[in-house]
Amino acid sequence: MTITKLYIDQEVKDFPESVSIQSRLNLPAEVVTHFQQVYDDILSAKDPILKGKQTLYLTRNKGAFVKKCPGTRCYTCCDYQILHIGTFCHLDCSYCILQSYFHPPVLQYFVNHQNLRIELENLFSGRRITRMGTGEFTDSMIWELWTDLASLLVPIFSNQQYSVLELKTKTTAIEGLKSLPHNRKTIAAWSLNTSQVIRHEEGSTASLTARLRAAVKCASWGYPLAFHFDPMIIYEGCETEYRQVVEQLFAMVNPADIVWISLGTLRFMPALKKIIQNRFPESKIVYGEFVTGLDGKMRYFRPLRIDLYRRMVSWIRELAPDVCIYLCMEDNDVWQQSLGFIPGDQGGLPRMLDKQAVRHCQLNPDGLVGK
Amino acid sequence: MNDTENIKLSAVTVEDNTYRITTNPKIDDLVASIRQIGLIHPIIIRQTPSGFLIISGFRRIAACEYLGWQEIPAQILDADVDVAQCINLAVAENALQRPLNLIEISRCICLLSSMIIDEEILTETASKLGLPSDPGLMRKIKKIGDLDPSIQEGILANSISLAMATELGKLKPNDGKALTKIFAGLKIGLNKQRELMMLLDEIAHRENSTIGKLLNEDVIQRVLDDHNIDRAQKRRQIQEHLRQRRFPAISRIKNEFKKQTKKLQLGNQISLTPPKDFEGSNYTLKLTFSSLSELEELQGRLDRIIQSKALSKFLAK
Repeated sequence: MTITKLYIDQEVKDFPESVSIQSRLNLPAEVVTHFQQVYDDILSAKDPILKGKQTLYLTRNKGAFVKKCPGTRCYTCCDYQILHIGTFCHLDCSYCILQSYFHPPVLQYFVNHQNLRIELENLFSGRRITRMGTGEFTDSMIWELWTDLASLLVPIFSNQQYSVLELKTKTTAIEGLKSLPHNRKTIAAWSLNTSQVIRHEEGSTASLTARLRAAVKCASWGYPLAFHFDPMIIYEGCETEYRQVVEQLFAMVNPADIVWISLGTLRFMPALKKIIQNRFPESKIVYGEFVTGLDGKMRYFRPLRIDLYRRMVSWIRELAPDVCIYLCMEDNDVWQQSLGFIPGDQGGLPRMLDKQAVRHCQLNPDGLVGK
Repeated sequence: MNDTENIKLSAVTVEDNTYRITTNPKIDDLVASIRQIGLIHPIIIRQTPSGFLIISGFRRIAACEYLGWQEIPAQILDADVDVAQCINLAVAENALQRPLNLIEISRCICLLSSMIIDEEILTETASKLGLPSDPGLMRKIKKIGDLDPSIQEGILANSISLAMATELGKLKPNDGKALTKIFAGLKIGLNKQRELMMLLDEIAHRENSTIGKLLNEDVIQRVLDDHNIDRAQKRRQIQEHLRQRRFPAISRIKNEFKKQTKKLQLGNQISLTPPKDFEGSNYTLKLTFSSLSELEELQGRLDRIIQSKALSKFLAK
């Protein structure tokens, strides 16, 4: 999807990042004094969500750059940190929760990078292991087309030994990573799905093979890798297709390069259902067997989730017995039935993943103490 | 407007319903009244090249035709009376004379909004004529005018609410018609209508089918044609069939749980409830007793439940 409108917050119009992005986009910019001007424009569109994907607003992050991932106490959370560099995404996946998360949704990129650096320095000085990523409120790599985000972040993380940055994407925009000093403190991560889901539900994202080829390239440049089978979608024949994805993954990627693999099935706030039905009338994903989860989100009926997790775990373990697998937002019972253990057996999910980060990304194990 | 004069009924173009507001096709009462005391109010018509166009008096004309009249007293509008004035007259003649039903209100609003574009003027005019003037409600009611006649009949028969009519209007015409027929035949309340429609719509989407085709399937037709069960039983059976089809795994596990708990012979004083939709892992056991001896007796039954393989198997799922 192409950016057709650029807004710049008056306060940041002379920031070097703003000037650079405008020149790379080659678009006239409208300078605004208040975000409401941008929101009004988006909300006046017939499809504000689509408009939000075509509109880029350069502004200042007035809140924190480092945020705790919004988990819920009903399900096991991994204690992830979000590096809040911007919002929304133009890839247009049908199931994207961001469509109903931001009001209104708009591509926002924060250019006050001086504040970002200060926050990260403060975090690193805590000398505690942290895992953080930019791929929660957006896709980590879509910004590479117009910004120098990776070349800003990767070197910052390379110079410390307690935190690891995960760049999670469905794109192949990785060329910028090639020559960056990363010191294994950046994990290149991909969300994986079956070719059918990618074709029908994941808008303008890269194909499965293209994603895996990009991962292989990153591994050859020394980056640790991660993969997220999330959201897995249950449909007739999905088991065979997910098995093929697992097989293709390990046919191309060396398990030793993988820090972790997460599994999660489709879940969404009830309000998203109408949005998907209206914006993607051909999509059938909302017609699965969903129930209301303990956190109020719609989730597949538990036995269906467990069944798919069990299969995935057995296929992954068959080909990569030592790779760390974890479940995203599930409870102990689902863990036990799917993986045969609960996170508590390994000191809790955060610790389990911290240890993986220490091992694969050469973080300082002293950072595990007290966590 | 000119004075009243008698015109030939054959000169009236009765097939032109442009200004028809009434939904009442019955003329028995009017026939009886005209027969007894004559026609009190003359009809209103307008001269056009193809004959007299009816502005007001559709039922009176039908009644007089039925009575074999050759002529009818009429007020003929001047040729320079424009469409807007005709609409105003047609609406006022109905809206200010008698209570209108939803379809008639919709016809009034449709007519008014065909000549008034400005929303503010439209609401003001509607208000003066005793019609609903809330813009949101007016938009909803106006849409009814475009609905399939079978859905409009459902509204008139009170088997379909305005809210449901709006939903039905969004469906493919045949789907809307098929559902209307079911709703009317089974006399289903709004909430059940909504559930039925959602189940059918979602199954149709998932299975690349249509609501009409689903309702025509043998399994549903057999229930509808079964003369040994009443309407409520038919509704329940159809609903259950659709629930199982829409949520096969959930239905299977729920039925299995019911079967297993039945085997446990819990009696009236013990109830075992699974977590809602089996999400989460907490089951609830409720004991009801009024004396220690009753509690002791329940303890024995509890032991039996705890040792039951059926339950442990279920909990391990």
